[in-house]
Amino acid sequence: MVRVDRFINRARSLGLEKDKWAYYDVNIQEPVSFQEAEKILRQTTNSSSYYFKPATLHVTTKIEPDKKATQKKQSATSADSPETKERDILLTLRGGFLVKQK
Amino acid sequence: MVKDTRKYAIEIDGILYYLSRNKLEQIVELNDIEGDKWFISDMQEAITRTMTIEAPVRYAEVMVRKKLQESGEFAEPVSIITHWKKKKGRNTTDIFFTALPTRLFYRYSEQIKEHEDSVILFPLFSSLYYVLKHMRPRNPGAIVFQHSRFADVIIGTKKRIYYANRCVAFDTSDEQISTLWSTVKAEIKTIESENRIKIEKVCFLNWIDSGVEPEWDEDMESKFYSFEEEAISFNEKEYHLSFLPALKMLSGVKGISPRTEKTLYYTQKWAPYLNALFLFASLLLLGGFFWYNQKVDLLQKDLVALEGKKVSIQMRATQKIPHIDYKETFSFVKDLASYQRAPSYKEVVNDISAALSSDMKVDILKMDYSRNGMMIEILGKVKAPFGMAYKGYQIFIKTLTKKGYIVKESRFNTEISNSEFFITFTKRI
Repeated sequence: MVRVDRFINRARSLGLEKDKWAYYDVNIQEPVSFQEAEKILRQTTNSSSYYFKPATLHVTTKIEPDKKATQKKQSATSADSPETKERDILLTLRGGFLVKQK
Repeated sequence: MVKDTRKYAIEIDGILYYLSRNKLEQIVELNDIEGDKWFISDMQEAITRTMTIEAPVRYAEVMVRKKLQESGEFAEPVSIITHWKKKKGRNTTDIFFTALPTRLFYRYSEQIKEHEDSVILFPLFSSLYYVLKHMRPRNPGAIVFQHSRFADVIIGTKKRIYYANRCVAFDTSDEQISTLWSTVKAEIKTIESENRIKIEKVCFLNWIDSGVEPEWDEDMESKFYSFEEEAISFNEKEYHLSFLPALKMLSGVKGISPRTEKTLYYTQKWAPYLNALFLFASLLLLGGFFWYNQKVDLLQKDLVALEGKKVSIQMRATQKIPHIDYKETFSFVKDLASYQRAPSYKEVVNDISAALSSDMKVDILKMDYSRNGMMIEILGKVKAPFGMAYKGYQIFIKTLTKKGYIVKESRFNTEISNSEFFITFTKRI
């Protein structure tokens, strides 16, 4: 009992209580280039200010033609990113960021 | 030497004596002696004999009584005091007894009963018998107690009595006493002859009125000697008597007084010792009582302390254990630890990329995380000849295994120039 009590007090003093943390869900499912994928994956790690909870990562190089077409069409109408016309992989990523509230 | 402090009343030839320490005096009646006493009597009118009776041991006395009455020795009811008896044959018993008229026996009994103090009664022949027993002769011996004009004779061994009788002279003149001794000698010879025995020793006991020690004829094979004597003063005259030391051979238990009389006698005799014993036992009990009381006190103190402890434990047991809601916090901390330990997507992708050979290409990669582990499925192709492709496939598995990935399932299909692989890995977090 004493040990449990001590653990709870320690956890509280460090702010390790669920209601003091915010959870931000991540759910990506889209064709992306290798560079974009690398950029996304680089961010899905733990840092000093947050935790990343990994859940599912599915990567496939076989993108269905209609999805590819849709993406091409969307890319063509987009004025902001003319370089992102090429999509290498279909990325499905699920997880979430857990951030301590101040 | 311990002095005999016992008081004796001795009745011989109708005269009553009182013996205390070394002084003998004549008294009128038993009541003249104060205190408990032993009473040795020749019981006037009593006869002492040995007989061989045609009857079982149990009925020997009855048969003796019948025989004595039939022979005319007693014209009145007779009482038998048995000194010794032994089964001889199937229906035969040897008995050594003193017989006296029942009225006389009752008179002695009443006298003892009415006496203020305890009296242990012994027939005279009892003392002679105990002298013989004390001598413990292997071969037959004789005890002769000569007093006044009588000689009481007993012949036997430590196990058997052959003869017991009183020889009588007409008076106490020297001539008659000499005749008396001749009779004794003749009796001894007859018994030797009848029983085919040889009497080794004849022990002589004297009394204040005994004559001089007889001359023992050379033709008598047995050795004649006097029992140890003791100096006694009687009527301001010193006597050396051997009958009195003989009395010391007696045992009070063998007296013929009623059992209650003997019990009372010994109770009084041992009373001081018993009192001392009881006192000692009482002191012991008292000491024990105090010791146990002290022990009980200590135990009670311990008990009180233990009771207190018990109550304290019971109170603590009845107190409600405070509910600490720790599960949610604990689970959350565990989750955070799991996220901390879990390899990131990028780390896993880097591990896989580093293990792939240049000819290998991944088509599908799936990573699914749980709290304690993760599962990875990899489907890919190798565009190289079988040998190279399979080698690359093996290196791939080996490299990841070294990094803690465990192969759960693996398949490798080849079309010689192209190959396909499917591998499932797990990894503990």
